[in-house]
Amino acid sequence: MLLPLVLALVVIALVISSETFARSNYRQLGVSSGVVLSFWGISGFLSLYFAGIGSYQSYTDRNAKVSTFLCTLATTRHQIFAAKTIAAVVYILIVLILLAGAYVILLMILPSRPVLLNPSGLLGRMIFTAFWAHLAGYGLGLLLGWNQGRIIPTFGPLLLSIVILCMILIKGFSLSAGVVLMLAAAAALGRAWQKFSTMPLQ
Amino acid sequence: MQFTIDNASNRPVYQQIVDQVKRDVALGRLVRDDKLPTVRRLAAQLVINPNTIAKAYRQMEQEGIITTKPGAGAFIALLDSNLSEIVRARIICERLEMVIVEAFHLQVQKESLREWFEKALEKFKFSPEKGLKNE
Amino acid sequence: MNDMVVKIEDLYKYFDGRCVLNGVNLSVPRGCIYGLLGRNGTGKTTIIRILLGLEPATRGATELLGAESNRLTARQRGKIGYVAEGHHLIQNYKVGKLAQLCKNLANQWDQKFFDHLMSTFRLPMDRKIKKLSAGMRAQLNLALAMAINPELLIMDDPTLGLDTIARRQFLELAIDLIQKEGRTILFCSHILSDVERIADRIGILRAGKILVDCSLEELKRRIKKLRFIFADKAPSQLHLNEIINQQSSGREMILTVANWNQQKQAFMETFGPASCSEIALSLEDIFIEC
Repeated sequence: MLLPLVLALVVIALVISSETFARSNYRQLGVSSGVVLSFWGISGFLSLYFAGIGSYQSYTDRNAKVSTFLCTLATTRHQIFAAKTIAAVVYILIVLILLAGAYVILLMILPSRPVLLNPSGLLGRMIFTAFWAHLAGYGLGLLLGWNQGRIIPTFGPLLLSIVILCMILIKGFSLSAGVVLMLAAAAALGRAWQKFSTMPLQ
Repeated sequence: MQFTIDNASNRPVYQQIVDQVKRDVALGRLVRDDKLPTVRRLAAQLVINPNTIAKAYRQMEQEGIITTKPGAGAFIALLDSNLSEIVRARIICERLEMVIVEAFHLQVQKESLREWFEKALEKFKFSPEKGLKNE
Repeated sequence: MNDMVVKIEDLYKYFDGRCVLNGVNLSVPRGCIYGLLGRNGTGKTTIIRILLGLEPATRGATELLGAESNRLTARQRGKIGYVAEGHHLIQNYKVGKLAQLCKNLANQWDQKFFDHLMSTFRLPMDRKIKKLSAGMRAQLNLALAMAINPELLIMDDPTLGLDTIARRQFLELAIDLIQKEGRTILFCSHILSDVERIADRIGILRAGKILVDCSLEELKRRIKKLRFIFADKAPSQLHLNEIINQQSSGREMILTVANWNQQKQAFMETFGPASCSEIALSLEDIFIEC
């Protein structure tokens, strides 16, 4: 079930990667396309990954009635949701820091080292945009996972991630893309929080 | 002290407890200063709501069957300790009236009722200090 | 000490346009064991879920321990023990791990009592919950609920699937809890003999409304089943209020009536019954007649 999904993702990532290579923005880096674009591709893939996590959490929560059980203990729904979100944020940050670290190390050891390691704060912008993209993915995954049936929780995240990917494709790792994604993340998490606070727990 | 409680009966549970204590006292199985189990113990033993037990004990104290000493528990009191003649008359007359009503509904004649009452009296040696004893 | 631990005012609940609760009013005073009865599907579980904030009400207010159901703080939730029908616990956890989770999240936890219960119930600490039988899950649920030393214990059909001894253990635990200061128990059960044993007050839910809400003793006092024998044929039409059930056959009439009093007695006597005797009604009988 997962394997064709992963393959599809890889193909999509590669295809869109090569499209982006054509953009002149990244030429100034003067590095082999793989490194920069891999960050982007992995980023996109991670959006899906976090969306998948969110979806999986909501789906199992619904089936195994975990939140129902927790709510009967000395916690409130707000606390449960906050704990989930904080855990997700920490996880995303760790992953991004590792990724960024790997990216910098790779750039340093490449033979065709660029003159500027971080032209116009590109790395910062990439991380900023990626963070919100992943968080938005997580939020949307949470929302989708609460649907009944298996189709939406499984394929919904995929569709939404493609949307996110396309947005980064169009706008690149710019600040404006980051801000838009930040708003998307806020909206998704906000809606998820509101829904979780009021929905009947089975 | 063993109690038999019939939850399904019409007679309230607390009343059943009172009845059984009274019966045991009347038959001499319980004598003055015998200690009854605490409300807690009895509730746990019979698996019955403690409020019910408490009510039974309150009623018995009111009727003068038991006295409670704080911290010590409930003890069987001397039968005529704080009951006045009027109260005793009231209790017995109430019971007698119940029997008479029952007899009426069963269409028992007054003479038969009197006869049976005398017979029942003869079965017991009636001595309030020492309790009722079966012949 | 007359505060109401559970307060339900004008509660309405609609599920997809279908009315399940049609104006429920209920209060449970502190220190009381309240038995909520009703047939399957009458909405007992819905009431409890709404009380605990698991389900939103369509209209009306519910309060637990003085706070609105959907505004219960974590601290207040920690004072409420909940034993649910079906006993949903986290299936993939081992018993020990779940106990640890509950312990960590609890306001107060009586480890000694919990261990005592686990050994009484003979529950293994290292088995996965999904491998336990339904009865063992029920017992585990109860142990977890009791270990937090709850002020309010809510039980929804807790003895479903339990053997006789386990059921008795449940009752003993309930009595044990209520003996402590200021505790309250609200429970639903289909095993009316259990309810009859330990409940102070009874509520009967029917057609989305509370039909009866009074003490058990009062209920038994108010509802009487009488057997009349007439010289001739028993009267077929009786213009008497509050008849719950009436069966006539030949010279015999069996009448179940609420609020039996002197007037009703006098009325019946005008028909000149040859005899009148009372048939004892257990709670189960009352429930079936209502």
